This record gives sequence, C-alpha cells and structure tokens, in this order.
Amino acid sequence: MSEYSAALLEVKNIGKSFGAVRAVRNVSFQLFPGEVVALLGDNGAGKSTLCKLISGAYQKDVGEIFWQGKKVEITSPDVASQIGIAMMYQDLALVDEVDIPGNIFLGRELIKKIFGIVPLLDKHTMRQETEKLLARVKINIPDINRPVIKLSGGQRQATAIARTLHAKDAKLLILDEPMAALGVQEEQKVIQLIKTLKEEGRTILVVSHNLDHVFSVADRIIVLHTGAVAGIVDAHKTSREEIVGLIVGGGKRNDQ
Amino acid sequence: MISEKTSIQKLWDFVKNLHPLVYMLILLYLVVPLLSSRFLLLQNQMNITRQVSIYLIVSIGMTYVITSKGIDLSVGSTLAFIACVVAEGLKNGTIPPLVSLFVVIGMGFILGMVVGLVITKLKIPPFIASIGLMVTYRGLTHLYMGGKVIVRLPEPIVFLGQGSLGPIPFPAVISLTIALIGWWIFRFTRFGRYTVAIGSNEAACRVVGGIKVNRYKTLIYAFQGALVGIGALIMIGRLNGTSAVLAEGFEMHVIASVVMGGTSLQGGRSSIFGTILGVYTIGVIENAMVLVGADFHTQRVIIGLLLIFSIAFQGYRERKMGVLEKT
Repeated sequence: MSEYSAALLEVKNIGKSFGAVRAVRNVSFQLFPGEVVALLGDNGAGKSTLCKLISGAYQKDVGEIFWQGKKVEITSPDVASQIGIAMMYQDLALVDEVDIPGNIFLGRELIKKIFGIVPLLDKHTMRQETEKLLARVKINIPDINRPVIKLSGGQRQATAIARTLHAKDAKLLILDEPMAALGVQEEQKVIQLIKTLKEEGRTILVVSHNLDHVFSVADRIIVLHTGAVAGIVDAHKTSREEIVGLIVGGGKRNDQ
Repeated sequence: MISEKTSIQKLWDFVKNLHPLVYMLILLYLVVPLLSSRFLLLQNQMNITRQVSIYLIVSIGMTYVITSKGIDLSVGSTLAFIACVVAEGLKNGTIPPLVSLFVVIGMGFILGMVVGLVITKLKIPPFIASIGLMVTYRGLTHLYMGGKVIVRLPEPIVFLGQGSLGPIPFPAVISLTIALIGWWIFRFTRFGRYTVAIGSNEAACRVVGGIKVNRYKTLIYAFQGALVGIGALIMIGRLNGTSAVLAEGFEMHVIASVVMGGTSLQGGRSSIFGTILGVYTIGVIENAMVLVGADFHTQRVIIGLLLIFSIAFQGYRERKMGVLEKT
C-alpha cells in the first residue's frame, strides 16, 4: 500500500508480441500485499494479455518478473500456482458439463483408492471441501451437483472465483472481468466477495470496464493504452474524468 | 388429493424425460410383429442381442471418443486388421487361444494409440487423421491377407462368438459387462472425468486445470482401440473365420448408434445408456429388414439415413433445450 513495504509482485519492462502486433509494450508496475489494484484500458489495450503473462498462460518476450523480491520465470500456469498466483480467466474459466466440485478441483482431483490400488474420484470429500469453500466466501448455491452450464451468471462467476481461491495459498488473485455479464444484484455480490478477499490479506488484480466497480473496490488503478502503461494512480486521489482521459489516450500520470 | 396430483405429475415428468429411443423401440415392438411373425420369437430376440454385441463394445469406446469432441473412422479397418492377424496366428498355432485375448487388446491399444498420436502430435483434426488411418489399416489388412480367406478356428474362440450362457448369447454377456464398466469409468475415475472435461472445454483443461490434454486424448483412442480388439476376437469367433473385407462400413454403424443415443458431437455430453439404446435400436431395425426380406444394400441406405436423421434430431433438441452451440 505504500512504497515502503516490499512489493509482492514486480513487473519490469515486460513485453509480448503476436506477430506484428505488440500487445504489451514495456510495462512496469508493482503490487503490494493486501491491496486491490484495478487494471483498466480500452478493448485491445492489452489487459488480458498482461494478466496471462503473469499467470503463465502466455510467455513474455522481454522483461523481468520479481516475486517477493526474487526473480521468477513463470513458464506455465502450474508454476504460477505453485508460487502463489491464481487467475480467473474471462473466457475459459469453467467446464460447462462438469459440476461445481468438479470445476473447483479440475486438474487436481482428490483420489481415494479402493482395495488399496484402484484410484477413484473422491467425490464425497470434494463435495464437502467445496461446500466449506463456498461458505467461507459467503456464496450460496443450493445444488452444487448440477453441471455449471445450468447455473446463473453470478453463480458461474462465483464458482470461477472460488476455483481461483482454492489454489493453494494464492497470495495474488488475478480476476479478468469478474463482473462481466452479471445482473446488478450479482455484481454487488462479486464486489462484496472481492472486499472479503482483501480483508483476508490477499492481493487482487482486477480487470474491469466499469468505473463504478473500480472505484468501489480499488486502492490503485493501472491504465493501459495500446499495450503500454498510460497511468498508475491512487484511486482515492483521482477522478472519473482523469481515468477516462487516460483510457482513451489523453494523458500520462504515474504515482508509483 | 394433493399427493395424488404430484404423483401423476411425477409420472408425467418421468414419461417426458424418457430417452426418445425408448419410444422408438416401443413403436418398433408394436409394428414389426405385424410385418413378421418370427420377430418376437425368443430365438430371434437372442439373435438380435448377439448381432449387436460387437457394435456395442466398439460403441462404448466411440462414446468416449465423441464425448472428448473427437471422432474415429478407423475402427472398422482396425477391427479387420486385428481380426486377420489374430485369426492367422490362431490358425497356424503361433497364438494359443488363451493368449489371443491379450494379443487383441494389446494390438488394439497400440493401433488406437497411433490414431491418438497422429491427432495430437501431427495436429491433424480427428476426422481427417482417422480417415487416413482407416485407409492405411485396410490396406495393411489386404497386404497381409493377399486375397486369402481364413476359416475354422479353435473351439474356444468359436464359443466366444457362438456360445450361450443358458438362453443368453455369450457375446451379449461380454458386451453388457463392458458397457457397465464403461459407465462406471465415466462416473468414478479421473479418466472418465477428463474425457468429459476435454470435450466440454479443452482450453480450460489445459490452462486452468493444467491437465495433460494430449496424453489423455491419446489414451482415449487407445482405450477405444483395445475395445475394438475385443470386438475383433468375438467377430472371428462368431464367423468362425475372416477375410480382409471384414467390417467395412462398421464405423458408420457405430457412430450412428452413439449419436442416436444422445452423445453430443459438440463434446462434453455423453450417455452410455443412450449408446446401449442406440445400438439396440439399429439392431432391431436391421433385424426387421432381414425378416421382411430387404437386402444388404437397402440396409445400408437405411443406416445412412438414420445417421443423418439422428444428428439433425440431436441438433434440434439441443437448440430447443437452449444449449448454446459451441464454436
């Protein structure tokens, strides 16, 4: 929260191109323990790409990433989750035909062995763990055994966030558009959830298009414009007009 | 009063949610006896279960493949290739009958794995990859046989295809056991869960779940191949011999059964129970056509039309249920 405490994550001069398109250019910023930072920018500004570089879904072309002061190479989502970074993806968060416990435990299913050899899914324990997890983040979903395609937008989003949380000791959560396509009431629930997570001491990087949401949760705001940082500002010492100006490319400011 | 109404409601819900093929079968069992008096004879009914057994075994594997959003058109050629190699071995004594079961499963596993590897390593779409291997395996079969026909196989193999347990044909017992195991694997194992998940959202499996998608895909085709191997052994037992033209058009029959049963070509949605119904329905239709004297080519016309109709019907039902079409 202040420059004096050590950064949880530091990104230095990071860059990524897809063919001739420079999606992310020379981006540098720091994230501190326990803060909520909003990542803003117009469509195609490089928000999702930047998030995926940190979560290991994409590999950076240039630049450095430091985690708790130490240089790290995040070569895959697995590596990211091992060091404590978890991401909720906007577009590929859930497996529609699988139920909530199945989604939360996707890729790290709990296994029990019958007769000591035959490995089977431990559905009972996964269900219990899921109920505990959902209760902890105050999400109420009546029937968790339905395929997630049958859930409402808010319930799906909650499942995706819960899945991210379940990653072991995730210190940094990256949420890509967690409020996209939600009803008003459901938006408020997700905002409340982000606040709850902040109270637990986690650092959250949240991508959003909605300035109202951003101002209601964020401590700081990073604005990207055509792949580069247009501004890093304190959310309590700025205005909507300034942020909009930065998003459309009309200025520069860096509080960091 | 109230409870009576709800039980009627429940009954109505039950009837409404029954698999469409259940109605199809009821209709067939009402109509076909009017066309042929032999249809309902126990002997004929048992014949149907024997005839559909091999289709059912391979269709269980195909249910996995299609659920993972793949397709395997090579199953007929794979079956013929294994059948010919093993029949030759059984005939000249290099493969003892007891060992043949392991040989067919092993061969099937490897041939299926090749399909999976071509898809995942060479990055060729399943349709094209398996069509290529369909032609390759069939060609290999003809090269191996050189126009020869094999007849008269050892007794235990013939029993496998022609024997019965009481009134129930032995192949039917094997195929239903395999169907049960197939259902169980889907529901209770990581392999089954990943088959559904990969078909439903492959990118999420890869990125969010960190699942080794290519390895599981290859394993799904190998699993399918192993089942094809078992089918091949029963097939040569039932025919008491084989030739290189065995099981031509087999893949269409299998795919039609699986799709009719409700397993979605869009991936992620499967029904082993539906596959059993699909295989059985086509078996009944074929049997009826034989009883009324339709020839082999007419049967193929009907199977082809059934395949098209069932895919169209599946698309209609998914749109009606409001399931978004995945791109």
